[in-house]
Amino acid sequence: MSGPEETRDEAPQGVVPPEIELRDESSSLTASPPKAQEAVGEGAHQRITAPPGALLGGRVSATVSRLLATGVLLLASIAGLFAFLSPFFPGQDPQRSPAAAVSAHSDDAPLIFLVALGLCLLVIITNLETRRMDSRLVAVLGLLVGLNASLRLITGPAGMSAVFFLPILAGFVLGADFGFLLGALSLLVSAVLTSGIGPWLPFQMFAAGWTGMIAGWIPQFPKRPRLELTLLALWGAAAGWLYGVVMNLWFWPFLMPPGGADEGIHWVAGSSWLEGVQAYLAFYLVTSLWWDTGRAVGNLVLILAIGAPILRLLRRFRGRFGFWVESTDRPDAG
Amino acid sequence: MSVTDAWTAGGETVGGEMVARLDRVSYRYSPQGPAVLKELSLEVEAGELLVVTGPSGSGKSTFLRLFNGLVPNFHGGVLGGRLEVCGLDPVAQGPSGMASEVGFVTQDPESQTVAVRVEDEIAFALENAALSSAVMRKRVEEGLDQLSIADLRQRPLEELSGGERQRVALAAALVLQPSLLVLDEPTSQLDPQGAEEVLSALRRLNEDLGLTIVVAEHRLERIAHAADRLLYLPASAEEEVLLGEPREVLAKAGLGPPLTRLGAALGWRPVPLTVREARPRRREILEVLSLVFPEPAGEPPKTSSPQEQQNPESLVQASNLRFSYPDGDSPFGRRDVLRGVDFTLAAGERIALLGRNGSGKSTLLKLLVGLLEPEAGRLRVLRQQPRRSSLAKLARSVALLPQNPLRLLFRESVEEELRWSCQIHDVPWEKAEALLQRLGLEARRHAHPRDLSSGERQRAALAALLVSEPRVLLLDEPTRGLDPVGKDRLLELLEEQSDGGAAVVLVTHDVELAARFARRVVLLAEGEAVVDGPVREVMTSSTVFATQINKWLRDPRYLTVQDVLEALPPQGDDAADEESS
Amino acid sequence: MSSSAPASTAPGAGSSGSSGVAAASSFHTLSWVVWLLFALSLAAMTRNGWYLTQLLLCAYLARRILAGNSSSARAWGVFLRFGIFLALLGLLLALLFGGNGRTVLVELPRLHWTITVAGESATLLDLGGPVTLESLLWAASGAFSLITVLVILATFNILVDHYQLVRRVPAVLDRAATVASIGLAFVPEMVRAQGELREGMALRGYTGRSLRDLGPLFIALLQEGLERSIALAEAMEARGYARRGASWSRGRELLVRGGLLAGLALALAGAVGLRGIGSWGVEGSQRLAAGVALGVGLALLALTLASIRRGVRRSAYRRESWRWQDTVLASVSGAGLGIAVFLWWNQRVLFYYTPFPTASWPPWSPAIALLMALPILPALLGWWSRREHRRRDQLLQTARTAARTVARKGEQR
Repeated sequence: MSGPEETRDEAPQGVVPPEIELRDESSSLTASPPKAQEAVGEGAHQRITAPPGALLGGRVSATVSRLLATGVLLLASIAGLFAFLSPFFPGQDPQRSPAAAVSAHSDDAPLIFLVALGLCLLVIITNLETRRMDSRLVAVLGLLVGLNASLRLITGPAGMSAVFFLPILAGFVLGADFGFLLGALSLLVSAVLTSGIGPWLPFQMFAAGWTGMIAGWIPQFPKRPRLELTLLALWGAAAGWLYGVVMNLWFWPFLMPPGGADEGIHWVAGSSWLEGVQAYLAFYLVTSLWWDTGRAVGNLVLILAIGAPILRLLRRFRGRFGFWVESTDRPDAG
Repeated sequence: MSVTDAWTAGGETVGGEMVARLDRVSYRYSPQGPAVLKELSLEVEAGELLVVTGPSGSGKSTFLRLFNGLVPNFHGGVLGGRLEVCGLDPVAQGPSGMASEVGFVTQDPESQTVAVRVEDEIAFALENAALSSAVMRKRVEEGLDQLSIADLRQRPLEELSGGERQRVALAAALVLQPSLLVLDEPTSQLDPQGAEEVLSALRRLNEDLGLTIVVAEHRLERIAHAADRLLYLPASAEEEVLLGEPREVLAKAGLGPPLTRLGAALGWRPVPLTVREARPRRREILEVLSLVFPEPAGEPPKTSSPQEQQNPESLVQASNLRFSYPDGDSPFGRRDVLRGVDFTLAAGERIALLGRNGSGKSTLLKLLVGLLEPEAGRLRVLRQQPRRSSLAKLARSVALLPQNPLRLLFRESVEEELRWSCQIHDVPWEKAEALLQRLGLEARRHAHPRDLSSGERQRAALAALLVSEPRVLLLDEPTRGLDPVGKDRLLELLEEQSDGGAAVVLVTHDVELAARFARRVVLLAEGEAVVDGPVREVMTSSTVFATQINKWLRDPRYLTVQDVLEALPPQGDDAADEESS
Repeated sequence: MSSSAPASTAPGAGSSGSSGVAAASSFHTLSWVVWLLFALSLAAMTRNGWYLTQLLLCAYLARRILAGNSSSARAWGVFLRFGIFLALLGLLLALLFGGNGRTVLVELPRLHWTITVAGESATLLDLGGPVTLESLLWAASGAFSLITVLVILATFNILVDHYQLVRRVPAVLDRAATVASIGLAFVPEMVRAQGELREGMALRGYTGRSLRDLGPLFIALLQEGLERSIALAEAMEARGYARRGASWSRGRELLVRGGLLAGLALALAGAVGLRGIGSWGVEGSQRLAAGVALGVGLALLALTLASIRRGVRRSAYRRESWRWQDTVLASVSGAGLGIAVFLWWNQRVLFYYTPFPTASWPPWSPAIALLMALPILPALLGWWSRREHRRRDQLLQTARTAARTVARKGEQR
């Protein structure tokens, strides 16, 4: 998948051919030799997508591998979502004893969800470990995580926060898994920084991760920047509300009113499901909606106002550096 | 210590004396691009201290990155010729494969950090080599001791000074016990004290442990005399590369500390590097000079400018300024930075603001523009009281260039920066166009500010400030990281501004620069203006804040190379030449 | 802040009570994590007010004895206030929805909203009605459990060294840990850069305050971040990160990703089947199959993770000392966790508290109460070692005075 590795392997040990040609991208973003960026910027990443000497089989297996990675991301997300929503649909109790079925709370202790969520997060983050070692990816992700966490320290009025802005745009340009990792890890870092590790953390990491991940699935229209920006802004607004919806779920099992019609002992399957959702909706409308609307509007306005140059910057960076090799074969601005 | 053993052992693998060999190495960033290095051949001997210098853009960084394969493996490009470092081929090994043989330190200590705490930062390379905990413990301790930073081990890196951080980076590069240490301008972002810390650590490593070091450096005065050889890379790959004994190379390239440049101009061989080396020549030159100016108390070559005598308009009056920053450690929760500073500034003045780190120089500048407001005292700038709220209005006539010019640059090209300035200050574009020409930025007008060289960046930031024709120009250590050519250009520009009637205040650690540019020197210490007077008086009465020439001749009339050369009779050059030959 | 100062280096001379406290609080990060898991699962398992009070007390004492008056102690207040806010919300919800139970306190006006679509009517909203003591008690007990969870986490946040926590993650997450470490290291730089850039905008004479003006600032920040990331990647490679031997072959990559995917799919299918959704679920022998699927899936995940872990060719530099106190804390907490999970699985009734159908006091059993008292261990150990410190200080003091008197007597002679 990466050009330089292969090239290096081909070079005979110890003897350097008189002229070997490696990647011809510019290093203009480093402070060092400040020249000739314009000349090189263009043809930069064409060489990376097709590693020299790559067999057709290599390309097929690369595609399969990429699909597998996406599958892991997707499936772990679904599992996480299942854990998120489980307070709403009680499971069948194997013991069926009256005492055991006292309430949804005792049926599924919130702790189990937290453990399940943790496992899903672990699997997704391990996905980072399964790709080949690339110091650039680690460095870029680390730096952006730091930047994003520092933005989170500054919160605007209402729920406005710049913390989703970067994962959305970076996820869009650099790929869904990058978006997920950026969103999830920046919330982790900011929690560590502010001593704010709480039961909400896995929820936050997932929610922010999904924000970036789904942005990565939005189709790219490099010729129509306005359309792209509008799509992203709409997703930003939706993500603002959805984030709130998801985030309230961490304490919901504790506060969920006891449902059920007959004597308030049993959750009657079916009706309780609806009741749970109703209660949650009412709760959401009363408490969280206003706050989340601030966040949604904030995301929308922020992306519309300053998204365009940031997209350009990220694309320029990706084109020059080609570090995110797995996503270079997506349709691109060039 | 076992470190020494390991290094001598490392020498064996090289087969005796050679650590690195470059055989007709050429390099281009792209097949069509211009050559950065051309047919460069060089051998680095074991235990050698090789200093690399040259103007910015001369390919120093590229050259250094050849040793561990960062060029071309990391940066790409077209490489020709043969390379061998520590018996290995860096191109085939790649940077991480070379890590245990070549230690590498870059110029910005902040961009090398991977950990929060010092110890973990140092251990990073050891972790990458998958060494056992016992070995790691031992190596980290050795690294901490070698650079005398053991007391910093648990400190967060962000709390350290630049010099300390760079020493941590050095330790981090040394823990894998490489046989070659490569440093890319390790002191360019540091103040003199930090630079001295780092360079003396380098000299110690070289002398005590026999470590082979290749270092790129602009501040030759601190390292040239310890160097075994000097490599001068010219601005263009077509010109001649100079390599050899430091004094010879410096004489040929016209670089180095003032005495070296004077020596080169007068044809002395070998040229002196230090005051001690120039000592024997002192009598001789004083005799020649006294023939020209018999009276020692005679009129100095450069007197105060006519403007100063005409009682020019006063721009800044400050008396008894006080300021403090919040500080958890101090008993009162605040740390005093300025404790009653008096300061005046008139049109056309050229002031150098000197002082140690933390003496309040930068704070004073921030007070003058209104970024900070004084806690006590009276301050009038252009008859106004500078306030944070009216900062943008005042910025039109009082310009401050921060240490990092990038902090002023926000747009996507130089031209757009200027357009933005024009728009903010409501100035016609023609003025900006003229500035672009005058500052030599015309060719780079469409370049992204971040792609410019450090000198160009600075000029771009200055251009953005000068659009509104400010009456007061404040510069915070503008020469940090600039090469001699960049410095000269900057000084020319500032002199031009000052001749146009603007008052220029230069915060600097560089005494030579102060002597060349300033007419008045203000010395801040512990938050007070300890000395305030004409440059020649101040410099002669002080040993710390004296230029090298002044330390040598101890005569208020001669501060700079220029002073001496101008004072010598026209045939003096020949006379000196004859004497030395 | 707590991990430094290993106990052995604590100088006896002149050490006042406070330095003793600092030394006592430095439990190993791992033992803190085990304690947290134990205390947290207890708090989440029960709504019984007696037990929750016990847990709260344990957390409070741990903070009181181990944190002293450290500045981060204010995190406690933040967590507590948040918990109380949520508790009030819960009570409000109970007022609106909780129409069950037998002891009716007030009757609120009822709000019923149905919608009829294609002949089928569905209830959209059903609010108000009778407010019962039971539903209020139910809400209060849930809120109490929530507050306890928050307080335990707050205690953990105050006492643990977060940076060590990041460096402690298992090798499977090695790169993520490096990413987090870089992020942590760069946050202060980025905050500083933000301030300087704002100053820079003002220095350019720019006064705008609209949202659009965030643009230049944000771009400059991002650009700085991206540029530095390249410089950083360079520095990392120069220090041996991404060694050649550490890179994966394509086949291995496929295998590992496939393993993760298959394990995840099996485990998810098994879990969903076992648990069921509403009335849907698998029965009888299918249950067994679901259980097997869950087990195999989890095993496959564990195996793949272990294989990834083996592929990580890096070691970790950690210099935290493990003392006997840590052994005690970790083993007791670990055992407690095991017992708690076992009991909860088999004898769930022991932890239950429900006010329905008629309000009642929560039950109290000595065995469970003992289990719930175990999280007091850090406070106990801290208190003990602090006392030891004091005693040593006193001994030293006495020895010194004695020596001084002897010396003085010698002089007099």
